[in-house]
Amino acid sequence: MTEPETEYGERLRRALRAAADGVVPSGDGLERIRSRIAHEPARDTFGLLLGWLRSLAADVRSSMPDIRSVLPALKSLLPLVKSVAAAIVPLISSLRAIITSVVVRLKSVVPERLRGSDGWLRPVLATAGAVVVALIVALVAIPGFRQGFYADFGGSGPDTSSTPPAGNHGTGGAVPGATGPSTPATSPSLGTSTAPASPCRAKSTPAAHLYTSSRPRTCPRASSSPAPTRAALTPTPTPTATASPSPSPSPSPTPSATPSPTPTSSAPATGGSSGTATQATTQSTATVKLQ
Amino acid sequence: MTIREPHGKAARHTDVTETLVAETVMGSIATERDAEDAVCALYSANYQSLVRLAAILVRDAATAEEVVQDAFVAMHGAWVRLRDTDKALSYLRQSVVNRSRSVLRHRAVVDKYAPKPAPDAPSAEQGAISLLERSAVIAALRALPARQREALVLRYYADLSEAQIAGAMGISRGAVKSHTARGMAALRTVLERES
Repeated sequence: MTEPETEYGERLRRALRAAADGVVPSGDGLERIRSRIAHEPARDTFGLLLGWLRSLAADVRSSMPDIRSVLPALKSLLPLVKSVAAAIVPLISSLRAIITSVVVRLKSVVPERLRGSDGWLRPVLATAGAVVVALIVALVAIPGFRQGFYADFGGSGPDTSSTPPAGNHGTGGAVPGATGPSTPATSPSLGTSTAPASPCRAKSTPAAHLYTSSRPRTCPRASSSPAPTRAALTPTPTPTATASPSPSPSPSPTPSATPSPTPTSSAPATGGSSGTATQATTQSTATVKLQ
Repeated sequence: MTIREPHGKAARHTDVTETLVAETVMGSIATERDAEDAVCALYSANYQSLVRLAAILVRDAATAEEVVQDAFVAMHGAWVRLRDTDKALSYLRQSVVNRSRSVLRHRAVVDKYAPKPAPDAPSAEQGAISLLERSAVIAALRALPARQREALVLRYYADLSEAQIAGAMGISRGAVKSHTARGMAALRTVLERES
């Protein structure tokens, strides 16, 4: 480094030191770090896998009505599939013969170094297989990908019906139903997050150190991930469950029957808090009286 | 199935499962204790300097503290891989640089979409920032591209070698040289004016 550069470097160093010396960190940094470590969720592979499986199960559960709606159509397609399969079986056998002959010819044409253990044929086939498997897994596991796939190739049926589970909290129980469960779901998490602070803090003492490997896992699990998701997920089926039996007494008007159950069930509890709910109840009672 | 205890004087038979479980539990406890000891040691030795380094990068003392605390938490989580104080310190530096970069990126996005405040109402963050920007050199440093600024700060404030800077920034040593030279060239006029 040349002389002026070192001089400039010294000036820059002085300026940086002068600027940085004004920054004085607070004294409770270590305590904050310890509390964050105590509340940090366990990021082991098993926990990640478990979380992914949970989300997958929730996703499958939410898309169950779609599958059920598709099942009758699939059953009607069964004879067609059988006839197509009966036609395809001889085609497959002839295809197999063709492929076998092609492979035999390729083996004679392609040099040994290409198709051996170091050749390209096996990696190419393995990559193709991996791509197919990844596509299938993505189709099954990733909801966004599946929705996009349905939107591109499968028509609008599954796409439109799969959107309500995504917006479950808003659409399932309308406004009162959505706000009702959400507030208890957040408040216990706050309560439990403050509660285990004391045992997790206590692990800073040497005697409590010995069992810290199990404690931090119990603290966040009790507070954060499973409880709110369950609490957020379970209330959404309940409004739909209460909604489904009530259309049976008043079968005729389909559009007005669906909004009516939620206000009638929630109207006494809320005490007429929202004007739309009371309007809906009056409309539904009016329709019932008319019938 | 039973095995003989390796250093046992008495012929005590120990169950294999019991031994494995005990070793695993003791190993995890020891790792946990090592991680906490490392956090304490690294905190007392390097916390202040790391906060100041982050403060120069993110121009905000409170955010700098959060960045460094996050880095310590991440270091604690990654202690199974590190198991060494030197490695942990370089991990901390790299984590601080990366997180500072993320903070600046997030701040740029927020500033882009946030409504503009009234001209006579400075934000609370502005007070902390202005503390760091009283010097024209620091203001000029702020105008540099992020990589050049990081390289200069790590070189001239943290006094790191080129290899250490390369490790902290996740780039090659040649790129460190290039960023440092370009940054110094851009700052030259300001530094001349300062003198």
